[in-house]
Amino acid sequence: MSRSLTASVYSRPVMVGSTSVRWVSPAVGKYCTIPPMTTQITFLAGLYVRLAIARVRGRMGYRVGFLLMILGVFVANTFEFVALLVLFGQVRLLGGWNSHEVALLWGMSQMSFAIAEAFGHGFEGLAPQVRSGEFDQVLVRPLPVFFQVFASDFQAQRIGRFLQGATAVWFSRSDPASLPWQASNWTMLTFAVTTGAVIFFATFVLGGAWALRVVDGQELMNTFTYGGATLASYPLDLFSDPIRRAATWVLPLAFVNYFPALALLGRVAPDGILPFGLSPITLALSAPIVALMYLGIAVVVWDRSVMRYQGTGT
Amino acid sequence: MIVAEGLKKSFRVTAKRTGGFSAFRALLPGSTSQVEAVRSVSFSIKAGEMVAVLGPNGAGKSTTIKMLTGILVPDAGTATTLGLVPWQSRRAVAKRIGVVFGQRTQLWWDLPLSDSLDLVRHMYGVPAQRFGENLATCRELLDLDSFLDRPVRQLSLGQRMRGDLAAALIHDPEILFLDEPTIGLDLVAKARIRDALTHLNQSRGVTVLLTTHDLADVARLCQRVLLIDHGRVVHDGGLEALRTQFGSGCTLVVDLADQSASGKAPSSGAHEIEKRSVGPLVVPGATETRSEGNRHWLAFDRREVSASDLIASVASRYPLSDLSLEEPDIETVIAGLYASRTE
Repeated sequence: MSRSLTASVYSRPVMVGSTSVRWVSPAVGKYCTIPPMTTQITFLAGLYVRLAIARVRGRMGYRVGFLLMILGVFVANTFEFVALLVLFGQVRLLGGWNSHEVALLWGMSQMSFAIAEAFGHGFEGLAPQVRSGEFDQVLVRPLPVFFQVFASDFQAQRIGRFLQGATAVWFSRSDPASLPWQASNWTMLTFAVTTGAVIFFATFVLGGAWALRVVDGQELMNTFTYGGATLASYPLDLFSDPIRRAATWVLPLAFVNYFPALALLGRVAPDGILPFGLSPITLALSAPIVALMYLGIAVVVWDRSVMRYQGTGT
Repeated sequence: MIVAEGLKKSFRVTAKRTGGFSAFRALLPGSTSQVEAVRSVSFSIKAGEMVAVLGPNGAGKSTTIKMLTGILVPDAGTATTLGLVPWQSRRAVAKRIGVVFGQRTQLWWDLPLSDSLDLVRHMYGVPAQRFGENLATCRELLDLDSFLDRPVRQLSLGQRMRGDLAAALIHDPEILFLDEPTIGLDLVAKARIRDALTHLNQSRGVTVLLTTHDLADVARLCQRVLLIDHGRVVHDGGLEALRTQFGSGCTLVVDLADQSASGKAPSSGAHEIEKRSVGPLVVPGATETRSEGNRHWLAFDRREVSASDLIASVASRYPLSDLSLEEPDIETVIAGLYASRTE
């Protein structure tokens, strides 16, 4: 729909009588005629950027606070990481992994989670909005509900966690005993981090869907989001069989970093931990498919939750 | 423009769980009770009308508005807004209506008001030129200039409400739904909002449906009142008609003549005293609610006894010096209605 055509739909103010200016109501469906899919996507992408910038600018209003927040997140995560290294002062291996190997897992998990948090925080912060009724505002706007929540809270300050994750990966690579990485390793790392972000993001979406159904379910939701990120920071070898299964088949945390890290480090996994006995490389390469399927399920659950919300009005 | 037929909506309310593991226990089936927020609401509103929805808290006003704007799906009944079923064509309806919830804001808390309005423009895809025209109108109508560049969090409640109203007008809505638009505002701010609404209705022909607890809003703005109580429309008509329908309880204030001053009955002193402290007046069809010296307040129901009959019977029994008739004001009528609800 070209702009000039849309604009021509508007009626100009016309004089009625001599005293009052009267606006003739513009034609039905005026501003957003439902455009073709591609136009729609371009429109929403543009709007996302605009809303994300607005969000960041709003936070920059407290510039010092914003920078301190990034620093704070970075420092807090660094402490966690240092605590892990202190642990390695006592034990040489954790589930058979040395400190540099665990640092890779840790770093990948943190980077993925940071990206997911930056984009998925709208879903994470939904519970109080549902409780206060602010969520209703979303339903009176002519945009998809999913998009609006997605675009409502872009968090640039999560870069603090991302940088900390990157530091951990850098530390992991500083191990003189490890084999040097090729370009393909770095590509795989990038893909794995992105895939992991999608998995964590989908978990946030599921958490948001949960918030639409249960008013005070925030704590349970955090168990899966933040708890998931923590779990993925350690080798799966450490955990008991039920947790390994859950992290593979229910909430696919193993695809975030565990399988890719096995492939990147050329490690051998313990028996029974690899589904269908597939090789870590195959699993690492199939991670994007798993992530997209998981996201698809999350979106369907989300849509149903929105419909249920409209039906019950929690 | 808006048609509602037999709208019905009930909520399941779960008893609030407290204590440890409340999040986990929320998963379990608990003691739930069904609350019928809207039992059966039907009405229709024509283009260009300004209608107030009145009713006590919990009467079903907001729920009705939420169904008409597509936020909620009713359990039964049908409704169309601009010819569309709002919960089926949510986005199409949203493009053509403006909604303001007085208790919440749709503006970006940390951004200047002007930025919020610009974001709203992009959400609705309003062309720049039309946005400019509408912004100019809003600036004048709502006097936004003094705080247009201030972050929303720094605005007073009245300024914020004007900002919210402006945000709802950017896309030329054909209907405005306002849920308590003047709540918490001072008199000046209220007047400004009312003036703006009147102007929009008269010069742009915008249909307005608002809920309020402020009867001054209604008196100033709306020719038509929908009174909702217990989830039903109990009155649909003018504000004055509401008084006639529900305000039948009147009070006759009677001043008895001072008998001692008249000197008509020069009898014994004991008799004088008896005359002066007349007990409660006994008149058929009325009861005395209060007395003060020679003045007596008699409450009566106009449907049972007419004022003239009552005056005649009072005059035939007691010496009168003055009388006046007090009609209930609209606030009293509605307060009485609200109070009867809890009984």
